[in-house]
Amino acid sequence: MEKLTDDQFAVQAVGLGKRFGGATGPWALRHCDFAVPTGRICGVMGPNGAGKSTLFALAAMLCAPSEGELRLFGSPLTPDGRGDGDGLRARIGFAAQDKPLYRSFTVADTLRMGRELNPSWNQALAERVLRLAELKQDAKVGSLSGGQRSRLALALAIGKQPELLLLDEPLADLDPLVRHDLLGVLLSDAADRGTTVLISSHTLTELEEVVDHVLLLHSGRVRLAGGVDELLDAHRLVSGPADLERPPGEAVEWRVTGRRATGLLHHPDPAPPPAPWTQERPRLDELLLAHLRGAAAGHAQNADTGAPTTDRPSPVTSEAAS
Amino acid sequence: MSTAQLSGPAPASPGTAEAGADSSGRRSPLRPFRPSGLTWLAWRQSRTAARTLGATVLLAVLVLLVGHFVFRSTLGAIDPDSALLRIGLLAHFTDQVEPAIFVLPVLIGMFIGAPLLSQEHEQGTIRLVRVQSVSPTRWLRTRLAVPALLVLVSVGALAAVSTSLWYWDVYRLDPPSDPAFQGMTYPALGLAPVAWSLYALAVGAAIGQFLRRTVLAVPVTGVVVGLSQVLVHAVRVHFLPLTDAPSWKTSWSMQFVQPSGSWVVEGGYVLPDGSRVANTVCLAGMDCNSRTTLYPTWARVHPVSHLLPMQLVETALLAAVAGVALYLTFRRVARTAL
Repeated sequence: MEKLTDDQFAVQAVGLGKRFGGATGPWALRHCDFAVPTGRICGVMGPNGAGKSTLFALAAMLCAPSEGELRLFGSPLTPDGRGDGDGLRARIGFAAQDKPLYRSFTVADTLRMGRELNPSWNQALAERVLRLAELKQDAKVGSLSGGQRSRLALALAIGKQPELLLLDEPLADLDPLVRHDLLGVLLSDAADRGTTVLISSHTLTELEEVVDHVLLLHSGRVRLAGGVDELLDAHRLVSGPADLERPPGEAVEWRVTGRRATGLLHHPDPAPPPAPWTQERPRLDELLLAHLRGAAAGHAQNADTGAPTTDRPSPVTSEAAS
Repeated sequence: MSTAQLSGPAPASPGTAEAGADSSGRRSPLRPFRPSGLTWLAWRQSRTAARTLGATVLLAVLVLLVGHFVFRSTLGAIDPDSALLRIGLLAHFTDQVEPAIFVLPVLIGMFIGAPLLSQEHEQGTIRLVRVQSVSPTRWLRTRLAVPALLVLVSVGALAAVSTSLWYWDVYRLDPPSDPAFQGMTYPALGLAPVAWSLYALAVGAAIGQFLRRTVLAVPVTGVVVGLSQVLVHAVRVHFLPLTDAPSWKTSWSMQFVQPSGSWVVEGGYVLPDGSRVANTVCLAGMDCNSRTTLYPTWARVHPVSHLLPMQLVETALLAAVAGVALYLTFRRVARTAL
């Protein structure tokens, strides 16, 4: 992955940090380094408040980073440089978590806005997303239910046919049946056009079957990033007697219950551990959960010992809060 | 780059192809107003304001014309110079038309200007616009220009009608009444209604951008525009240098003659040593005008010919303040967005 050049990454973060409320505000995101290659379906996971929405706002160019830089298709966005903002804007589609829409517009007006403001608009695709929700074209947006509004917001983001599609909790308001249909439309279109998708969820299992890349956030830090297969290959779930020495590998999580020990180990070597240890390949949700619990435990440890969690000096920025 | 494409040929996709056929289908000069791109969005958002403003202005023009014809056809038919006609027209004008036009800019600032951007922030739609393929500053330019044009056209039409009616029905009669520089008359005439309305719109939009809350932005805009009116009313006299009113030699003294329709700013008496004193010294006890002391009088005035230049200076001043407000708004928008 290191050998890829800049433009082979749709999104790339280098020491990325974002704080709100001026130079003294709390950090919503800090010391983030990751790269998402183009064409991937990347699940952005993490509990509420992990910094997912902040990352989306940065990637949608709604605000500037407070430190470090975020590269979109190799074009850097930094605290003071605005990069090729206007050119990039056409290549990025975003459905925000709160689904802002003009309440006085009708559904047709909203789609027309998409058509008028985006040269690459695909009305048929947007309507396909809408038809699944059976929305009336002359219904006022203000009268729609939460799920219908979500659907309309998604139609707007997808109809733009962006190269990078950012979907922040897109499925939260939708019922399971619609959720499934929508993911189908979304992913088949993304696959056809090679769209890079960043899709977030605080429910770890929701996206398990659709993502081929993950970015796990916790407390504003990246805890895990990479291709799903590579990550699963590099981890193993082991279990065995508690009194034996732990098999080689870095323990992401290690638990002893009674006389048995179980845990998730990070080890690039797929060779099986010595008997009587047993091992299996973890599922994605097991992997993510173990890392989240590990992160939470590490966080608590740091707090207990008073060790600073932010050890790098922070450059003071005069970024206006947005 | 992306923004330039918006006005270019429509890309081949079902939706746009349909729209393209629609707009190129008929091209008669009577083709209805069919905006596109950002203009469409701004027009769609200003539609309610346009209807309200249009209806208000239409109603006002109608009231003005009905008043004009009613007074003319009833009293005017008997005697065009009748005192009753004059009082009726004058009262109609000073009591209803002028106050209405005077408060119009405040209302425009409060109800069109202030919500313009504060609502976008409040409902989060400013983020919706920013993820479309248009630059934030270009969006803001159109977002402001469309309502500004609506205000310009509608208030301009109203001001043209009211100014001409004032001129023909009220002012031009002999001797003239309702001089142009009077408190409520001046802001209702000529350039003033348009200049003040556009100023209020710009200031309201800027306040909305910075406060980001409609319930706050609306009253604050009302206060700011109202205070501006009070302030400019107080300093207006200094916009142009005063001129001396010509003195008139009567058989028994030199009296100045107030030029018709002019604004007498200061006046007094010329003492035997040539020095000028203000009227107020007479109140302070000096014997200014009795059988024994008949001093010539003097006065400094704004003649009626100053009306247009004074309004031009005022317009320039308002444009400068509005320009600063807009500059700050654009800078803020460009800064918070990448």
